[in-house]
Amino acid sequence: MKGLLADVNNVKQVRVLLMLLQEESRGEFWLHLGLTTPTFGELGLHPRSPDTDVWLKCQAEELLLITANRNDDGPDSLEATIRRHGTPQSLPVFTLADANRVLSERSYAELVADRLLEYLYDMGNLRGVGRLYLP
Amino acid sequence: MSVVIVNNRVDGLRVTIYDVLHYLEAGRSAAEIADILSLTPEQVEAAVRYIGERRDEVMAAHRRIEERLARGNPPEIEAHARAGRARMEELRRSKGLSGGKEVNGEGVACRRE
Repeated sequence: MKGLLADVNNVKQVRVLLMLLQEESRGEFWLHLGLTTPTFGELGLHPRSPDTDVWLKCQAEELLLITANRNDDGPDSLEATIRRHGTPQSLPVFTLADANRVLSERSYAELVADRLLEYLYDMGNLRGVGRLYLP
Repeated sequence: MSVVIVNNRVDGLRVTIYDVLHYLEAGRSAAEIADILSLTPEQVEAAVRYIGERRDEVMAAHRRIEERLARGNPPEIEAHARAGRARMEELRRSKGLSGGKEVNGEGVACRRE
C-alpha cells in the first residue's frame, strides 16, 4: 500500500484523522508507514466519479479509500464493485461507521484513528477482505 | 439549474441522500451539512426535500445501512487490529519508537503513565 484516499463524502473526517495520526502517541508509527495522502483531483478523479472508477484507481495506485459510503446496495454501489472486481490481492476499503461522531467527539475520533493505525500495521493480511469498518 | 437526485446521489456527486440523512438525524443544521459535505445550500435543500417526499422508502434503506454499519467487523477481522497493535509494540521495542501507548493483557491500547 502506498497511501490513503479520502472519499468526497468524508474529507473533513479524514483531515481530523490525519491530524490525530500525527499527534505524539501515533506520530512515529504513522510516519514509519510512509504513506501518501493524495486528493481526488491529484489522481484525476472527480467528485462525481462512479464507485467503480474510484475503486479501480485505488487498486491501481495502491491506495486505501476511506469512505462514509452511505448508499443502498445497488448494482452501481461500492459493495457491488468490490464483489465484481475484488480479488484476494485487492486492498480493502475503510468505511467510517459514524462520520458525524468523528467530527463531534474527540474520544471517538481517537478510537477511529487508533483502529485505523492498527489495521494499517496488519494490512499485509487484510487484502481481499473487501470492507473494513472503523472503528 | 435545478438539483437532481439520481441513484440516491445528490447532483451526481459522491454524496448520497443517506449521507445527508445521517447528519440530519445527528441534529446538524442545513448550513452545517452543506459545509461538512461540501454541498451548496440548494443541494442540501434538494436532498432534504427528496427524503421528505419518499420518507418510508428512504428510512427503510437508511435503517438497513445503519444496521450494517452497526454490525461492524466480524471477530476474525477484529483480530487483525490486535495483530497490528502487536506489530506496533514490536516496532516500538525494536526501533525505540516512543508511541506512548502500550497494549494491556486484553489487547486494549492504554496510555502509559
